Amino acid sequence: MIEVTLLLVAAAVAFGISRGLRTPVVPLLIAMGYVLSLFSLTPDRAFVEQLLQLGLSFLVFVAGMELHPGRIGGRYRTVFSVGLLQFLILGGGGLAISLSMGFGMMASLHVGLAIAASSTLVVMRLLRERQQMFEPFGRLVTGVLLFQDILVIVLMVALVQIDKGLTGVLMGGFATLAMALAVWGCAGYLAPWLLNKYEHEEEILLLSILTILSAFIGGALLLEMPPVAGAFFAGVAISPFPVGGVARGLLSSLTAFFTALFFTAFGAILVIPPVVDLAKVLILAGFVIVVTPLLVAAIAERAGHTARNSIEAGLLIAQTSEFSLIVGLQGLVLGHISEEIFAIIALVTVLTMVVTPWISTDRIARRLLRLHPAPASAREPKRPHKEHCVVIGIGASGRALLIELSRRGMDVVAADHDPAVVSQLKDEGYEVIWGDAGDKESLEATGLEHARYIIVTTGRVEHLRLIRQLAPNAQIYAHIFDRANVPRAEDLDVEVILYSEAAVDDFMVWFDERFGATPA
Amino acid sequence: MPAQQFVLTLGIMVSVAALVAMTARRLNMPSIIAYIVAGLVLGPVTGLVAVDHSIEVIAEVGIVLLLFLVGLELSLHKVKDVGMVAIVTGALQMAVTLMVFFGLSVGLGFSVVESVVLGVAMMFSSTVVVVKLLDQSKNLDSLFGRISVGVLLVQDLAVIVALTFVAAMGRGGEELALAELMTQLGMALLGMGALLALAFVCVRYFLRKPFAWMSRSREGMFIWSLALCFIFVLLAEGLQLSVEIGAFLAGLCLAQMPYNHELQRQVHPLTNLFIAIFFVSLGVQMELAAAFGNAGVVITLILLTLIGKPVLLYLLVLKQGYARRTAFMTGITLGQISEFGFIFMALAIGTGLADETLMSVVAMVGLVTISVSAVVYGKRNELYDWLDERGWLGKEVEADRNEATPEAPISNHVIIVGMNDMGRAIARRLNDEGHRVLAVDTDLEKLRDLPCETLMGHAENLAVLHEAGLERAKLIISALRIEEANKSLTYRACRAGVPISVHGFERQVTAELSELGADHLLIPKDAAYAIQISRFENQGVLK
Repeated sequence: MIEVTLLLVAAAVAFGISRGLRTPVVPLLIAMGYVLSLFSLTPDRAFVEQLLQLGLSFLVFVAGMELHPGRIGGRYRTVFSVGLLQFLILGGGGLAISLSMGFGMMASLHVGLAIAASSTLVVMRLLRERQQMFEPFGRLVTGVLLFQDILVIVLMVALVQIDKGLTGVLMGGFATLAMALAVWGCAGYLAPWLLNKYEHEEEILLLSILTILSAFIGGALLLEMPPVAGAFFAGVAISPFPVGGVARGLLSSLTAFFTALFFTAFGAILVIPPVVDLAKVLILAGFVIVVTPLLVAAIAERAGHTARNSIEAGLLIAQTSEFSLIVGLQGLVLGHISEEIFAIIALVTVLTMVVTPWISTDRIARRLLRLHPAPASAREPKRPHKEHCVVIGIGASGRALLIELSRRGMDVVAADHDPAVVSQLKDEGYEVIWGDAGDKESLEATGLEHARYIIVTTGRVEHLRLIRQLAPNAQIYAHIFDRANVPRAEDLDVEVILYSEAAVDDFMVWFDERFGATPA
Repeated sequence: MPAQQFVLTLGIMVSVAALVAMTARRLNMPSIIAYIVAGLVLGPVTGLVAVDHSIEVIAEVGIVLLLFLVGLELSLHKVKDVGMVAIVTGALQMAVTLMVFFGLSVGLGFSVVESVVLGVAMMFSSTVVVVKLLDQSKNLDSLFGRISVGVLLVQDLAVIVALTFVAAMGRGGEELALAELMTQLGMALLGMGALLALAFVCVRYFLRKPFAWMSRSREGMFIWSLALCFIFVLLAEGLQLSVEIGAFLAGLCLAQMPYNHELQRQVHPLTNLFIAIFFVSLGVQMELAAAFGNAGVVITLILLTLIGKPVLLYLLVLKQGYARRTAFMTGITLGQISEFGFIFMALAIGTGLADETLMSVVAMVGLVTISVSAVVYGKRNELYDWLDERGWLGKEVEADRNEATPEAPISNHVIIVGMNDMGRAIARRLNDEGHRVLAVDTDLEKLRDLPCETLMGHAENLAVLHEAGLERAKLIISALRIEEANKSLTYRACRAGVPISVHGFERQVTAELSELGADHLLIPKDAAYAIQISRFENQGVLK
């Protein structure tokens, strides 16, 4: 009881700091757990380790629940190429670095595998918190994680069986196949049946979901897989709609509870290796953090994502996975790697996980976007324009406007900061300038000062101010998300179309039609 | 136990519990029985699972959470309301039960010491069972529910005295040191007073502001609340009080806060899981074999518990001016012995006051009375009517204190989930037009300045939709930007036959939502686009 209390209190402090400093909570949880261990406040280490295993199984299960293939949104080829190339290059790089550090072949293989995959746990949590799960890059990342997790599990099984030769490899293949079959049966038949039968029996439903989890963990052990792999497959097995949604609702407080317990417990058993090894940790972590974003950004953009999306996806998955710990642990148990190397893997994982929330920010993505090479001749307008219409910002509605207004005979020039979007629309024959809406030169390239109408969809008031300066006489429309920005926009003599208000108007028309104008 | 084994053991316990619970559901049996049966299967029958320290801790966490939940449900004034009746009823009930069982045991040929031990083991009702039953039937808040919980808490204080008693008797069976007993009782009451005072001070001066500050983070607030709960539990243990009392008081502290309903919903699933493990481990640890040799004793004790206790409680509560129904329900609810009886017996064996036979007798009586009372509780209304028709409940006297009549549930309203800019705008607009609007969000801040009714909660949670009265709503609207939540809301609305309008924030989402049966889609970007085009058309820029 005292262990649970201490871990919870440490977690409560972490949440408090996180709220106060507006920083992500996971690193703070690990830090507070480490503080507990500094004061040796976790006497029953065995129990803490049990909680750790329990929490890990549960959290991997929940993370797996987010990895429903349907969420990827169809672009399987992109996912495949990004996932595989990143995995191979990072894994290969990790292997090479480890060999050059003199780790030995077997150990280097483990380190390579540990470095190759990204953390479903951390990334899915961030996507959910930031409500970015269904942005295009969120979907891409979801797919990549699903693919890589499966890859790690298969390879992990192979590493166990490697000593047994061909039969071992066949056994591993068989085990994975059996798991896949179980996932298919559970996702297609068992889970929907259970939901249908016990829809209003929350207690039974909760226990049945956990029974599925237990069954998969048991199955994994039978097939000589790590139990966490079972938990992952169980999560995928109940991910499809509507079971996934119901399960998430049911399990949300358990997830919060185990998140707090797991990460503090993890911090509490963490061992910081000596300085020499710290250097190795830094090299490996740096490799992951620097190479991943570049690699992913390049591959994803080539596969047709916008440059912005590609960069954001790359930044978001620049860390090692919870499976890295399992890979390390398994290697340790089998005698493939030493305690020292396990500590290095663990620390690289912690370090890269901790850094993720800070490097995957909007600001850094925007900075990196500026470093992106320019699309060919993107800053030069084809010919001078007069009395034309300028569309600044080509998201979903900006794009539709560009197409529709051009179709109906207006002379339209558009501008956007995303090089991939710009190249694509240019290829389709539209006149598009590449540049930042806050940058005077890019704006001038659109012939702004001679424009009659300007439509700004970037939603930022600073942009409006500059645009109004450059085009004092044009009629400016601003499509704005945030109601708070409306007065400032109107001060600049800009006509505002508020997204939410537009949707509400639309809704009220439907509502009055359906229910009559006055309440019953 | 290695970590892997621990996870596997819990998995087995949960799985068997789930399977038995499904069968029990079909037979209309309460889940408590299912869990205990699952435990019997895993322990005494097959020996698959053994309960070690870690499992015990998990089970204890279950008890803590359950009592925390009770505290959350009952605010301070609701407890004060039944304070007197609980103390009087609890004290008299325990005294009478102890005497009757003591006399009976002596009559059945047990020694005086054994009879005292048996009497003590029989006099408590089971907090965990009762609270679980009340919670499942949503009766925690009812008058008889509150009286029952009050009686149980009074019993919890007596538990401390009982434990001292065993320890004292065990020290050589000399004259019972009355002075020592009284000191212990005094200490317990003092500790209770101190903890109560602490709770009061916390509520009054310390908790409100920090928790209001934290309330924007749903997860953070949940962890804070749990931390508070476990701190109180440790304090209670430090003051030699039971963990139940600590958890209950922590719950009471937070019951005063505006978001206590959401907190209850969050604690609930966690409790359900851990308490299931508690009941399973209870079953695992049962030693019943020796009880069969003492069938006569066992049956007598069972009958007395099942019938005698409810009758006694009925009379006690009735005499204090409550309605017959309230008195009857209180009695029925408390008609079993406590799992504490087992712990008590184990201690008694340890100090040489009782033997294994007595232990298994108590275990058997516990198993049967807990199971039967759970079934009887499920049929309490039918039983009341049946007895009333035969006139066995006596004449209805004018009751001084009655159940408050519940408010009529909200209906023909519009539920709006997600108080972002769009959600708020719709809420305002519909409210201005005179519709009854219920706004739902996880963030209390966002609900604060709305003109309509509000509900704090996570809309993916079925309990929240239930509380929002989805089945009776005219329309539900989701302004959320979360695909999964929108899909599950659409699904739920269609199952409930309520029209739904959903935020389709991205093209990939909209097709799926329509397929699921959404009646209307809120698509801000399309709406803004349409407005832009129509402005140009109105200006004559576009033809």
